[in-house]
Amino acid sequence: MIRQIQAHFHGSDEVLPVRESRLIELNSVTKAYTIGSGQFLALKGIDMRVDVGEFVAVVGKSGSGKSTLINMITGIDSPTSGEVLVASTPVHALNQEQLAVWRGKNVGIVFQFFQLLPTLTVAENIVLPMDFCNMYLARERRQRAIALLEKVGIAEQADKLPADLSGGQQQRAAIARALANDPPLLVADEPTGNLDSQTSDAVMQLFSNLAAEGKTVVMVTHERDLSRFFTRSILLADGLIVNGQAVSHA
Amino acid sequence: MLSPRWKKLWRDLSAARGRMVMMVIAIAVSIFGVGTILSAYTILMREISRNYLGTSPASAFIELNQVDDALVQAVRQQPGIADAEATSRVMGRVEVKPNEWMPMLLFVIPDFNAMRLSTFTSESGDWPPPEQTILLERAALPLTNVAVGDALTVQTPNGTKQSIRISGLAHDPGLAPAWQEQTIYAYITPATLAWLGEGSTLHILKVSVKEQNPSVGAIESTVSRLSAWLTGQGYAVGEIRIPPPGLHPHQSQMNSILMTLLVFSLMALVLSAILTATMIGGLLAQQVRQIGIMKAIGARSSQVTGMYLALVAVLGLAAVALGIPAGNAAKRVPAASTPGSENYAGWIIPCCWRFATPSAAQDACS
Repeated sequence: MIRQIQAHFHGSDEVLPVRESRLIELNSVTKAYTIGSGQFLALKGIDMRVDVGEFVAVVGKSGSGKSTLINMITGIDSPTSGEVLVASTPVHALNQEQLAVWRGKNVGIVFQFFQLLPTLTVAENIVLPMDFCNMYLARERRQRAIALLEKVGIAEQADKLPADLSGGQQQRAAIARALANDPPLLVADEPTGNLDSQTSDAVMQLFSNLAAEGKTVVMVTHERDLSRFFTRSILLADGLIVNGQAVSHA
Repeated sequence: MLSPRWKKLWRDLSAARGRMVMMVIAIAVSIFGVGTILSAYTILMREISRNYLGTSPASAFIELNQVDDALVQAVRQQPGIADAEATSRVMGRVEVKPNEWMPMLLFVIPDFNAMRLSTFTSESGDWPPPEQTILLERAALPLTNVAVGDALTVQTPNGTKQSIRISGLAHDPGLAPAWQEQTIYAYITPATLAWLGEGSTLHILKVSVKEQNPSVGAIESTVSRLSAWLTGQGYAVGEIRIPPPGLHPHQSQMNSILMTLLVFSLMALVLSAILTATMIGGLLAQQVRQIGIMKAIGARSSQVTGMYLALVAVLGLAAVALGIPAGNAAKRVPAASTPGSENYAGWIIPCCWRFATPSAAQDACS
């Protein structure tokens, strides 16, 4: 499995020597922002490891650095210092163009407000990452999009515009889009923050199933009652990890 | 089948179609303006110069107490003189409406079939004009409110009012169109001039110099020698007029007006570019979030840039497709109506001309 993931990341069959189960590794990551009153340290030397197949929750109060942390993992933002390695790819060292290609093929991102493109149908939204990353044959892309929509349970909504879907359906479509290029890593920023509790449970179950299938899921959340879905929670406070324990499901 | 990124672009374009149409029209209008003026400028400059030089313009006009055939023959033998001809000009007036008169410049031509300097051609009707008839420059006819074959009431400085028939039209590329100068140009024989009450003696000697592409200084030098010789022969030399060599009398005014119009049309183009940049900027500002999403799901900067550049290119091509043919068509309208003439500019600059010429300024001030 790890060998497949590495091949996926590097676009070849060459496999670099890494620890067998390690997918994400952050070493002494800091992130400083310049604000009016000086420098603000959003992350203060984060060390973090996530293994393949984990479903990790990143929790903490507002301003604790959760979103900044996952922006480091996805390469949306770059660290001020430290290393970010995803399947041994040094994400912190990639330029914007390399990051775009790497991200499109290796990371599926799910946002709180779904962020489907409003003028494309649901199926077209899912085909779009395949188009940008030139993944799969053009004639197979729609078929794959429909298969992913079936997986998340909304295949019948394929040709509707996002505005015609409920919040839960839009989030399922966003998850399907995140899976478009079959990335090994899914990163979700409060994906249930805009959903009712019943729909939240359904979406969480979907993520849980994906983790069970071998995907690694890192999710920022505020909601403590979803802890039953996670294999581990990382608690952030003031830019530091204060607790990174495995969740007990006993 | 279109890929989703191009579908997105097309639907974004459709969603903002009102603004996009406005943008395309703004660019198309400015392209139309610049295209029309540039085309007109090119054609006018070429045609005016070609037509004017085709008249074998005289290098100088020398006013004498009298000019006869013997003098003309003698002048042709003078050093530096290539050719000479006799003519006369009389400023009279013509009644264009009851009790409404306009200035009339009468050119007296001894032999219409043997003109060699500052020539003009027959446009229609009789050639040469029979006695007691008149040829009008074709651009002057509309100002007279009559047709070829009708009679005009004309008066010369020493004559009485005479009714004279228009026997035909002439085309004189060496003159500004009559409507520009608000003067009727006409051509008569010496016999007709005498009938109108003036003497039949000719007063102006047209000469051309031998030098190719002479400067004003070179012409002055040659004509000064000729003037001294004429004085020595007992002739009274009056005004000597040397037109700018090789240039139509109104070339510089035409250049100025066309350049002004060109500058205005370029300003329109710049303004439409600013409008377009502002509108595209507004469109992109609305798309910032979507651009961020596209980059988050794997779009490279070059792909996103390509999408929006394609959008701008489509708008630009649409504007060019509208503006260029329209400008081309506008350019051809005058060409079809008055080919090969400086009057060709008439459709485009009459208003500007009215405020550019001294007589128009007087009209405006009076």
